[in-house]
Amino acid sequence: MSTLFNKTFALRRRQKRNRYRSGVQGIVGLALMGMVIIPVIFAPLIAPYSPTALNLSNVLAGPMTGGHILGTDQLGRDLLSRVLYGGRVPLIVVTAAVLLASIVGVVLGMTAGYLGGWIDQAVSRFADIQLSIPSLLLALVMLAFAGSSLTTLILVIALGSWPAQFRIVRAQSISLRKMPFVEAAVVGCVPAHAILRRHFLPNVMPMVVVTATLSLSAGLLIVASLGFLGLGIRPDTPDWGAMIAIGQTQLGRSWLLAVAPGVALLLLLLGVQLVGDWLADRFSVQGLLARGG
Amino acid sequence: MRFFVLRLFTAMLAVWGALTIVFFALNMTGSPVALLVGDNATAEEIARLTTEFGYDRPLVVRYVIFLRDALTGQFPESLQYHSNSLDVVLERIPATLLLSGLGLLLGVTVGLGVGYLAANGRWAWSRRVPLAIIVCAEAVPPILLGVVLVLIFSLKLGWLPTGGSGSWKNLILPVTLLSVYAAPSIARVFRASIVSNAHADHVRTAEAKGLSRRMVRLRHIAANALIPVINLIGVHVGAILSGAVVTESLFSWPGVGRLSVDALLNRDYPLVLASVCVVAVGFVIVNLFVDIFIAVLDPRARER
Repeated sequence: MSTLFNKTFALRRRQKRNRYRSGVQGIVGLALMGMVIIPVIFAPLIAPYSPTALNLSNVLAGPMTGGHILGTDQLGRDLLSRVLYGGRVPLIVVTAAVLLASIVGVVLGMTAGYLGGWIDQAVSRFADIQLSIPSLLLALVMLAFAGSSLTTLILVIALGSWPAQFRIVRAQSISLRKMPFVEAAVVGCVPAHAILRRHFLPNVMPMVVVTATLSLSAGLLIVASLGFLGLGIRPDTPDWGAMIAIGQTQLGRSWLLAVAPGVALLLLLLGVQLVGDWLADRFSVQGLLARGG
Repeated sequence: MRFFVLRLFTAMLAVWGALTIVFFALNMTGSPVALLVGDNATAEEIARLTTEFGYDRPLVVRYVIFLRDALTGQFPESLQYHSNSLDVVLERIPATLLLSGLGLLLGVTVGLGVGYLAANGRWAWSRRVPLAIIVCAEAVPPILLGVVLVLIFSLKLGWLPTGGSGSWKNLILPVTLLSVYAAPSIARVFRASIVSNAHADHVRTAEAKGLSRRMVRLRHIAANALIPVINLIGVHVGAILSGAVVTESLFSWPGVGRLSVDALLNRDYPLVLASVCVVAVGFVIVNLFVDIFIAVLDPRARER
């Protein structure tokens, strides 16, 4: 009796400790995200200089010189201000794109999973086909022909991330359809849209949120890569990816130019990932996800 | 057998779909001729080119012609190289294959190793340290890593060239960078897969038979845990191909990725079209092989 009691007790204690640890993980993740996102949002209030103000007499100044905390770039612009402003484009683009992709993915996924039949087949095949083009290449083609603007960037990233949401929501909806409470609702003549809204949506939501964090980091990487390749918004808008590309040409003289925006992106990605893992643990959906992209 | 035929059919469908998406992306924004000739072209010039490229014909006709040309390899002429853009792309394929093949190989090897350690380390710390490395490595933006690699190994230490091609030294940094696109998530999935396999019935049987722990781990747990990883490799070929675009540009490696970015920046649209089509078709073929390979390994996969 006492051994059983001890075992149960030890098990419970371990569970408690695990929950505590993963809670810490989530808080650290949120803190990292906030550390990057809040200054970026309030960049106009915080930034000590204008991100585009040239000063050709003070080019490539070292850090902590002449009031420039991170120094200046090859055109004498304050690096800290540029890093702060440079996060705005990626954040706006990726947030909007992931929201859009989640809405599209959830609506299509629930509909396809609930109705099945040819609608399901058609949308699933379309998602498969779209996944057969690597997302960065798809983005390249779209941007090549539509030109680079905030709207096209958002659409391009959303297009790359909706299939993930769709697949996961669809798979969950298919198993939900067989649940007794759903069958009861069907028998009770509840209209389909109400079933989807009241019974499906709350049940798929945890998965959608976890998938959204994955899409968030994938999207941030694609935006950064596009900026790096010179396909970002406009050359004069500060943007982390483009800043890293310019920094690469100045590596020999000032490595901070490339590393500073890169580290900002790194911290943000790490935060998003910790939060995503934490949410996946909380909702115990860990095993259902396969990363990649 | 039915599975293979079905899978082949899906692959062909995917190729067709990829070509279609590319075609409509091309035609979505009106006539590409205006983009081709630039801003200071006369109306007659635009009209002449429109007729020459056949853009005055209806969309459906152009679509059919495009599909026929794509299937027979008759892509339009590249504006930079003045030859069939498919040939220009195919010329660069070996360089990209070399780089991505080695990158994938390194990424899979390191990923499996770290994943195995993270699942089977003897002490808590020897499991937790690899896991922490995986989580951090997944968050590192590859462009930052590339720049830091160049900074340390080329500029500070002077051991390796900053870019270009020709000797094995040029390969080291790009291959390392490319492997980072695959290694962390392979490690993560392999670890999760081992952990979830560790309590399977056949493992308990193997232990009950008195097999050594190492034997059970390698033959009964790890071997079965490989299947989701192989599945993931199919996905990762896409990630590596995307990564190749960035890596080749960063290290000025003469492959398809850099070619397509250069083509894009120089408004050489036929070449962009050809390279994206080639990469998409290659990706579909790789995924076909991965699926068939899995079906051969694991009969359960054929049932789906």
